[in-house]
Amino acid sequence: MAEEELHDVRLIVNGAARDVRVPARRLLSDCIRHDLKLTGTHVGCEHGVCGACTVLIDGTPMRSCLLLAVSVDGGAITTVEGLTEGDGTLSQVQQAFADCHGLQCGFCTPGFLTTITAGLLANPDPTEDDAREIIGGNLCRCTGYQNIVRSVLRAAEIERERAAT
Amino acid sequence: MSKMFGQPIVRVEDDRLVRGHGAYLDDLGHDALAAAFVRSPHAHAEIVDIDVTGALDVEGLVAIYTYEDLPDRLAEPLPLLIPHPSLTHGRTQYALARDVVNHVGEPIVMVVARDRYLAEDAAERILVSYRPLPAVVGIDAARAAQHLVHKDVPGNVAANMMQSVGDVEAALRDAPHVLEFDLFIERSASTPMEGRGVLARWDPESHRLRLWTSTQTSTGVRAAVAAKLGLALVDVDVITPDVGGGFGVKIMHPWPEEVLVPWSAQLLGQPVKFTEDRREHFISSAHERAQQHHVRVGFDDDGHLLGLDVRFWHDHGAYTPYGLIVPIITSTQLVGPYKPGAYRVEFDSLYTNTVIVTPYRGAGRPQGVFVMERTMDAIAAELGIDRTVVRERNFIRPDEMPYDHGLVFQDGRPLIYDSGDYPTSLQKLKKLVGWDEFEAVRDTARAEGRRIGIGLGCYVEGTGVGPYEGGHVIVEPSGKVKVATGLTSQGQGHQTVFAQIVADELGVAMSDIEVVTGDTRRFGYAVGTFASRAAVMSGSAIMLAARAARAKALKIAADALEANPDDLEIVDGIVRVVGVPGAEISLGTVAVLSNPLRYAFDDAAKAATQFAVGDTGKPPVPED
Repeated sequence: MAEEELHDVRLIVNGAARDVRVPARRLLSDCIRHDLKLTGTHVGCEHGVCGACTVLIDGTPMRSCLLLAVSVDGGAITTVEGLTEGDGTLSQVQQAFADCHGLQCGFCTPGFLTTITAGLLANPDPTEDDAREIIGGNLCRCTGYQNIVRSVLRAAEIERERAAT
Repeated sequence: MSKMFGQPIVRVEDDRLVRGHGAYLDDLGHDALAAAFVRSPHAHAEIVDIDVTGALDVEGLVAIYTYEDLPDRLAEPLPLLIPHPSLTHGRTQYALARDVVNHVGEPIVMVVARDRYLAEDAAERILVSYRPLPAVVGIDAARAAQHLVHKDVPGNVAANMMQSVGDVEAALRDAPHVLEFDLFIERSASTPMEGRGVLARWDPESHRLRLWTSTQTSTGVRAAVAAKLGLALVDVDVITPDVGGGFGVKIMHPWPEEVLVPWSAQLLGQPVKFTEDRREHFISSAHERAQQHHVRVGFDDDGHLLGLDVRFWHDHGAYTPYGLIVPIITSTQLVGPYKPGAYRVEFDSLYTNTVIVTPYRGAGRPQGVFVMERTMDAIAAELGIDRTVVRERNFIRPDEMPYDHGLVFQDGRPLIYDSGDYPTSLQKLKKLVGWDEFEAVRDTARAEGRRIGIGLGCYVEGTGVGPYEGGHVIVEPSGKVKVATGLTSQGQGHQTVFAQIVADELGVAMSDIEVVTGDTRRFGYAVGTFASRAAVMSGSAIMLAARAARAKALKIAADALEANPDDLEIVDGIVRVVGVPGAEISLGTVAVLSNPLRYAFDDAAKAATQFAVGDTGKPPVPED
C-alpha cells in the first residue's frame, strides 16, 4: 500500500510555533503526545468521555482525542505543561490541586487542570455548585471528586490572593 | 525536628504530576514499534483459518504472529498464579488463542508495525474464520451446563470448596426462626483511567531485557516473563512507571501482552510497545463480582444468629489464572464483625464464555458483605427489631478478641481478628448519621412529597496480607537517602508516606529522601500492591531498614567522634553529640566511613579516608 500523504501543520503550542508533518488521520492527542512529545496530555477513553485529553484551543477546552491535528492548523494550543508560569511557578489551579490533595494517581489531572483553568476565566468566583458544573465533563477514578471541588474553589482563592499582591 | 509521620503534608509526587511531568507507560518509548491485536468477536468459537495475506502490504508492517509462531514455554498456557487443592479443573489461556476462543476480546493475532495506526491497519486486514460454538453466559447457563466452556470440564465447575464451623444443619433445625432467600450480585470492572500497557527493550550486547509495564506487581511480571522467555531473573529488569490507577486489574499477570511484547522485542531487536486502548480494555481486561447466593439463616427471638448456611455460585469467566482468591474472600469475609453461630459456606467456581474474573477493589468482600448485611436486614424485618440492634446483638464483643472464626482465609492462614470494638463504632455511626432521628426526618420529607431512605452496612476487611515486603535504605556520600521497596505505586502516595517514615527514623529532611517503588533494579523481591498492604508491609520493612541504617550510622559516628553512641542524635542529616557544640559529622561522611575508602572523591569522602578518621584495625560495624 502507498505511503500515507502527509500534511504540514503549524500548531502554536504553549506559545511556541511547532511545525509537524502528519497524516490527515493523526489525532491531535497523538500529535501532541508522540510527535511533539508533550506527554502531560493523557488519553483515557479515546472517545471524548473522560476528559483526560482536554487541551485549550484558542482558550476553549476541547477534547484532543476527538480532533484531527490537521483541523487545528494555526491554532493556539495550551497543554498542561503550558499552564505553569514562565518562571516555573505553578498556576493557581496546579497549586490548588497540590494544596487540596486534588489528585492521587494523577492520570486524569491534566484534563482537570486545563478544564478548570478555562472555567475560572469564565467564572472567577465560582460557588461549590459552579465548581461541580465546571468539572462535570471530566472523570477521575481515584479521588471521589470532593478534593477536586475544593481545588476549584482554592484555585479561585489563590487567583484573588495573587491579584492582591 | 518535628515528626513527619502522621502530619498532613503536601505530597512529594504532586509537583511533578500537576506540571504534566508524570511518566506513564505510553509516555515512554517514542521510538518503539507498536503492537496491536486481532481479538475474538465471538464468545465461543473454533478458529478455522487465519488469513494474513491482506495485511502483508500494509506500509510499516514489521511482524505478524499467531499461536503457531510461539516457541517453547510461550506456546504453553499462561501460568495459573495461585493453585489451590480445591481448584481441580483450573484452566488458563494461551498467549495467543490456539484453535478455540473462549471469550470476546481474546487475542488471536499479534501485529507489530511502525506505529499503532499502521498496526491497526494491518490487524483489520487479517481475516480469521470462525465456527461459532454455543456460548455459556451467566451463572444460570453455567450451572445448567447444557453447553460446556471447556470440553474437559464437566458441569463447567472449576472448583467446589466448602468450609464449616459447627453443625449448621442441627442449628437450623433447632432454631426458632429460619429464613431462606436468594441474592444476586452483578458484574463490575476496575476500569482505571489508564489502561494496561507494556514496553520492552532487549539489549543483545548485555543480554538483558528491560520491561516497563503498568502493573501492580513488577516482581511478579519479572518472574513470569523470565520463565516464559527462558531468561535468568537477573537478566530481566521490570520497571513500573507512573500508573494511572490499578484497582485490581493490574495485579493480574502476566497478561498475554506482557509476555508477547518482550518476546517480540527480543526477536526483532527493536523496542516494542503495547498500549491498550479503551475498547480493548472493555472487551479484554478482567471483570469481577458476579455471584448468586442461596442463604439459609436460623436465629432466636432476639435476632441472635444460631446457624448460617450459604451456598453460592461464582462466575469466574473463561479461565482461572488468579485461582480461587475472589470466592474464598467472599466466603470468609462474609461473616464480617459477627458471630454467625454454626457456619457453613460452599461455592462452585464456574466457567462462562466471558472475560476472566480477577480481584477488583474488595476482591470478593463486597459480595460477602452484601449477603451478610441483607441477612441482618431480613432478620430485623422478620422480628420487627431495629436493624442496628440486630447487628449489635450479633457483634463480636471487644472482650472476645482475639476472635478465631475457625476458617481459613485467602492467604491460607487462620481467620483470626486481633482487635476491634464494633459496638462503639456502631454507636458513633448512629450518632454521625442521626440514625435515631431519621424517622422524623423521613416523615418531614414525606410530607414534602420526597421519599428518602437509610441503610447501613458493617464489614471487616482483611488487609495487609503477607507473606512479606522488603525495604532498602542507603545513605549516599551526598547525604541524600535513597529508599527502595519492591511493590508498586498507582496513586497511593508511597513516595511521600515512606519518606515520612524514613525522615523520622533516620533524622533527615524529607527533601533529602528519594523513594523508588516497583523497580526490580532497585529492589528485586516483592509481592505487590493490593489489599491495602503497602503501608503495613513495605512501610514496616522500610522502618526496620531505616532503624538498622541509623544504628549502623551511630556506631560508626561514635567511633569517629570518640563518643558513646547513646549520646548521639541525628538532626537534619547531621550526627552530633548532644550538648557538645561542634562535635558532629554528616551522615554522608558516615556513609563513606561505612565502606572505608582509600580514595577521596568529594568532601564527604575526604573526611572519611584512611588517614582522616577511625580505628583502621577494625571494620566499622560489629564483627559477628
